[in-house]
Amino acid sequence: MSLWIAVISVALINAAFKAAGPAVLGQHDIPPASRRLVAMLPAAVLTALVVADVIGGRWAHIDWHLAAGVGAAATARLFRAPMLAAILVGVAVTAGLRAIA
Amino acid sequence: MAADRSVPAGDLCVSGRLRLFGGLRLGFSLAAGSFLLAIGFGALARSSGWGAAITISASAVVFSGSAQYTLAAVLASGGIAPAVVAAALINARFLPMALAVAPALHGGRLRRALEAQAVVDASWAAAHLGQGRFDRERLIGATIPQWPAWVAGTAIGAIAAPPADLVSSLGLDVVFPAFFVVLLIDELHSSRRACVVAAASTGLAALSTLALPAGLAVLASSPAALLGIPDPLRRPAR
Repeated sequence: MSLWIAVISVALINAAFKAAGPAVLGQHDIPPASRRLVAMLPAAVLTALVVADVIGGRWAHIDWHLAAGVGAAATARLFRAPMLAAILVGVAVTAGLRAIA
Repeated sequence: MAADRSVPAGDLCVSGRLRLFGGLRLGFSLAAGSFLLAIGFGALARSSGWGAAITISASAVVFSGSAQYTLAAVLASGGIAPAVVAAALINARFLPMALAVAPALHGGRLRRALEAQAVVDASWAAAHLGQGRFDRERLIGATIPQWPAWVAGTAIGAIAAPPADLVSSLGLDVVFPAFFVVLLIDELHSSRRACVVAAASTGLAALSTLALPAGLAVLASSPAALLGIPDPLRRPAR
């Protein structure tokens, strides 16, 4: 029962986080300074997601195979590979390195 | 690519539908990654003593890998309250992310709150058009295929309980970080200031992950976006 309470609590909190901003803001636009902040949020959040995925919480899961795969995907994209192809390059590099490790 | 108000409503409808299909197409490729990662969550939750029903229900109602993994991990070592707080903190990043898409959503407050439920990391990043504007149809389209894939993958993981290292040995755990880095490169191409923000965020993320779990580190790194506030067109007064 307590597990159900935990799951439902997290689901409600999660939904509330997503709903809060749009519900409060309604049809109003956000001020220009906030828009400039918002424009930079993807760069900040994406970078942090990549760093967190590669080194893990508390630097607990630094995974060089994963890092190499991410680096390979980035390189492929820099050479203008399509999105899916770049991701597949990353998967192949990580799987290959793990297979020979 | 923001909607031009002078475009006839019919054209906007068609363009909206096309963008929705574009989002759906992207969502199907993301769904493959979600599906495989969800198998891992299903297997992990079952090995932590969760029943199959609650494991699958958790994916259906929470629909967030980072929160669900955190919940399972902290519950295994602590009580309910710390687990719920940890999972909530991990997902606190959705507060600014949903606020960012708010102007793109349609309808009154309730409908906007409902549409904002489509905000998940990958769809949100893919829906960014640049300059802080978001494509509502692409956001919703990219999320639609991911939800059933996440729930179905969890069900398979919970029922079949495959080896925990299957996803890792196939290199599939790189799907999301690779996707994020590809989107990041596109963001960096669009603005020099984004490069500065990304560099600051890298430092903040690397430092904060020393003391914090991954989801919280993402939240702690988001203030790097504050560097985007100064108006590049406004010269300082002499």
